[in-house]
Amino acid sequence: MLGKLFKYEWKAVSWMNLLLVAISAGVTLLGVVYFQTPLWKEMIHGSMGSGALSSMMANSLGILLSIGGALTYILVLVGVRFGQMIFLGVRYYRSMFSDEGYLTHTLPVKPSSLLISKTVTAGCWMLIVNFLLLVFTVILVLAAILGVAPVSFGEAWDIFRQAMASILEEPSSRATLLLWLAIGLLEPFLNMGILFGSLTLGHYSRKNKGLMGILAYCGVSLAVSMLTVICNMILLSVLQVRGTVGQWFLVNGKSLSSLIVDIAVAAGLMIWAHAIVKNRLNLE
Amino acid sequence: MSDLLEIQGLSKAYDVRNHAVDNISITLPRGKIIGLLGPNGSGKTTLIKMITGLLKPDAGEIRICGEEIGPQTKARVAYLPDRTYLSGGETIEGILNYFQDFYSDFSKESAEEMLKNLGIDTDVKLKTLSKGNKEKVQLILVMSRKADMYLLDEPIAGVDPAARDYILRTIINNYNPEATVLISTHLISDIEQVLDEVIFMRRGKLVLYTSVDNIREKHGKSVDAYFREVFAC
Repeated sequence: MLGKLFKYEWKAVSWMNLLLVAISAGVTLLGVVYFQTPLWKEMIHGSMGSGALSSMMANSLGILLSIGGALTYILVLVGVRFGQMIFLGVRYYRSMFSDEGYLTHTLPVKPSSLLISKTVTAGCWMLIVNFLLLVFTVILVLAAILGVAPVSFGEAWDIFRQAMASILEEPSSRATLLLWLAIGLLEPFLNMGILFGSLTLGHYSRKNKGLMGILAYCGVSLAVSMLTVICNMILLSVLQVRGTVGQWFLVNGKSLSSLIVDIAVAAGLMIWAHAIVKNRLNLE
Repeated sequence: MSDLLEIQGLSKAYDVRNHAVDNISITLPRGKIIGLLGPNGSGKTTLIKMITGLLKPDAGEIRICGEEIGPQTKARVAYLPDRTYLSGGETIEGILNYFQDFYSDFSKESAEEMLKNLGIDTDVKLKTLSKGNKEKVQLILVMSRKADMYLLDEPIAGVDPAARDYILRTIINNYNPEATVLISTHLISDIEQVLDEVIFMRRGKLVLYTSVDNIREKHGKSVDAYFREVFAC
């Protein structure tokens, strides 16, 4: 049954995620096209010395377009991330606690299967969208550089490879990369666990359960931030006592603490949500 | 025949003053069509929702075929709620596949046949149908299962007389004869022709559980007339 739940959950959330990816890809493509225009090249070269009036006007237009485009691009990326969170949260709430819940909770499946299928599916989509947004950003940056720099894509790739190789020679850099890889892979699932768990907590309220779920999420997010600071302080103190606190931990300690706290909070909330769906479900 | 549903000391209160279901104990056999009758607010829907697992009782226990409410009992119960619970963006074909995937007792052929008789195209999205047709689709989905128990919450409320006839015909022609059908309604005259037994509820309490024949023989009245007498204001 878990496989079937995954199948239908995947199908239900795919259209919106694909739409968000398409929007991001479209905006990236516009950016790439812009970086191939003479306006962009003129602006970069103009800022490097040419003083003609027409060149200055083109330069100003280019700067305006570049700043506006960069802001729009950032806004689109932020909008996509927030839009995805909102869509997945609304979809979870509707399928679990609105009229659609009448079907969800009369399926012959365990409550744990429902929660796992929804959290893992949402987490997978968040991971995919995060990865694609990263790829799109890299493409855009490369397009901006290659549009004006006298290097080919192959040469740029070689420069990137050499830079990565020199970075990875350092053990601390490898550890940092590993930490960020773990964060990148786990955070989408932890974020969804925290979001869905918090929304389920709203079920304790007799009225306005949706609103209470949103407030619970805000409260949990605040608590997570505070716990991350506390966890970082504790780790720092322990390492100081042992005399092993180093530069790496000073730089990455907060990220590590954030990961630890997110794992603990997401796991706790999921267990709590399971108990609510199993023992306290009240679809009125 | 063996008992299908056993309820012991079941209670549910939404708040301190409002006891929706108050200490109900009842055992229902297999192979009967039972009317769950009572005025609005008598606790019919609450009782049905507790049997389906959508509401957790404050006290008491429910067993279906000897098992506590859980995935096993949900596989045996076909439930028609008093609202549209299907996603409007899905096509009828998609919904049929969904039911076929999750309910091993669901007959897609039977559902398609009933939809065809109604002239409902399975390629259309649910949201494009009228309210009446949406209700019929939901009923068809439920009655296309060979379940042990059918829980139908107000299936004929808010529909025209012709649609009521269709709904009752669909129930009678398609239910599993070894199953029990529990129909909640307050429109008794429309439904009493198909009932074997009735349960009367008032303010969350069980007032009466008897056969329709018994009411007619003992009181010399139809179920509707007897209901009016019992629940006279």
